[in-house]
Amino acid sequence: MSSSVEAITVLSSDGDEFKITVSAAKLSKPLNWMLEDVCFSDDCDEVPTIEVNSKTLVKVIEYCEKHAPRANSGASDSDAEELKKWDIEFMKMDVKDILFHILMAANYLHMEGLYDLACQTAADLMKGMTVSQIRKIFHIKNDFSSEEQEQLRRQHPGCSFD
Amino acid sequence: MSDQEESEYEVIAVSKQQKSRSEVIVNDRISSLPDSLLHHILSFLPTREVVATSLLSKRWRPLWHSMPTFDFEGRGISSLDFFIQFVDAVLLLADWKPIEKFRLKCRTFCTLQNGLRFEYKRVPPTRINIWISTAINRKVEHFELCSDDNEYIVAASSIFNGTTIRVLKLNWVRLDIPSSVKLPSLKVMHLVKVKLTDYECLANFLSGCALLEELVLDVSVDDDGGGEEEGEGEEEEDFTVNIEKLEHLVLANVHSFLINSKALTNVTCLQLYVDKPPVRDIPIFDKLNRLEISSVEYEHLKWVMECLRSCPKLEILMINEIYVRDDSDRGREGALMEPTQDVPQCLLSHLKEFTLRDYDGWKWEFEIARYIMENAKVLRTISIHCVYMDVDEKYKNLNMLASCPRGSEHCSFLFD
Repeated sequence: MSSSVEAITVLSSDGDEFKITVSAAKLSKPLNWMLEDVCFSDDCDEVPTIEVNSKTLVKVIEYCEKHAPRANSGASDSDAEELKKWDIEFMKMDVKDILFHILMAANYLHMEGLYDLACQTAADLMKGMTVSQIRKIFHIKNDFSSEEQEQLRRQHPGCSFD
Repeated sequence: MSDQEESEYEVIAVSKQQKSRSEVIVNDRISSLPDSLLHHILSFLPTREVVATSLLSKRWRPLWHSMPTFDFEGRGISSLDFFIQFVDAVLLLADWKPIEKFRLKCRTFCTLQNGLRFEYKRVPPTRINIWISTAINRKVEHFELCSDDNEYIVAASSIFNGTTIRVLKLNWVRLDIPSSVKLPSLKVMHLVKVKLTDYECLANFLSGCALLEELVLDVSVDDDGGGEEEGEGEEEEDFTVNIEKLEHLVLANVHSFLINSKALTNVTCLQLYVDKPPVRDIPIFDKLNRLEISSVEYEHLKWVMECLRSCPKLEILMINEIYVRDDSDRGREGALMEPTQDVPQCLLSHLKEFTLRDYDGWKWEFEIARYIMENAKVLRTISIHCVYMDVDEKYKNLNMLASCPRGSEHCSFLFD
């Protein structure tokens, strides 16, 4: 890779082009490997595709750009605190909309921080909820027969069901 | 179904390699995630809630059995008997595979007996030991034991043979450290509010943790006579613990009495609680970059200056509190160091940031801020954070500090 390159262009699975700075791309292991292996200089016209849709990729890149400075240099406690607040705001999104795509993308791109953040956000939606509330939030269909349900109930006494 | 929805559906379905599911999946995205992702989501929930998700649907039914993490907490569970039954049952029914993380948070259960008196019950130590052994037999990597209500938990020595443990966190635990400690994988250890039989056993303990990288130590010694801490301090004035150097240790948060052992000399980041400064010489910390002193009595500031002398490459210094035991001592005379002593090397060449918290403007706080401002030649930032004070008082303090000579040309001064 030529050291003069500061940003690279990638394609989303929908075929849209996105720019991402090199320091931000380093947050993802596969992107980092690409940076090392593939030529990203101007005379190289091959644009790599990332199997993530455009809507999700925008958010993923936003996260990377925000976290890159800290990941690359380390930062003070106050920065860490500010970043945490930013993460919470960043994750305020509609469950049905994009959270699970971010989760899948973070997993696919080996981005530990974002992956944990997305999983934590999903878990927080379940925390303290009854079984029927969780079903409602995530549109999970109860496919147990009533006999099966009764049996399960007997097997797990004391758990908060519905 | 719109195009967008369709493409989103594909991403999930392809990755699951199950293309033939019904349309339900389109809405129920969470259930179509692979097991490993669902496990990771569930790892953020207490085990009790994880087990309850098996009632959601057939997809969720078997998931908890293969969870690699356990998080048992007594809170929210009505009785001790049920808590014990629950933990036993989960450990018995779960798949027998390595445990990534095991966390046990105990509490006291209170029941009313015959409507007359309260009875307090805790998990018996024998039962806790069985759970610990189970976790260790299942090659646990991250082990946490803590108390929910500041009552000590008596833990078994089997923890000290957890050869697979990489992270060990104990909080409000009473430990009896055996003569043989084998924690060859241990990288992170936090012992907070941990009671030991004596401080000497720490040497034994730490010598069994050769790969340790991060250490948080907030321990005290069991004194059955119930003697007050102050008496204890005087007795152990010249006491030291000899611990072999921990080559990999980079981050430590410990009592100040530990720093004259060789154990910590490789750290880059050190947080100290200055309760009983050792009298012996301090070894050189030539990799130390950041020193945070959480609390120090003004009488020990001289010792802090000695510390600075031993950290030639220190770049960041933070003092969170300088306190005085007896207010009548506030006017006492003294000096930070002997007049013949040189300025510590780190001030001349490395110190870039200095932070002082809980500032209320009394003599010794001002003195140390002034000294550092005057003598630190490459200082970039000095931050003083005040305790609450009225505007006039604050202005007066600000003026006093701002008029001090500065040794560094490019030093910004923050005061709030």
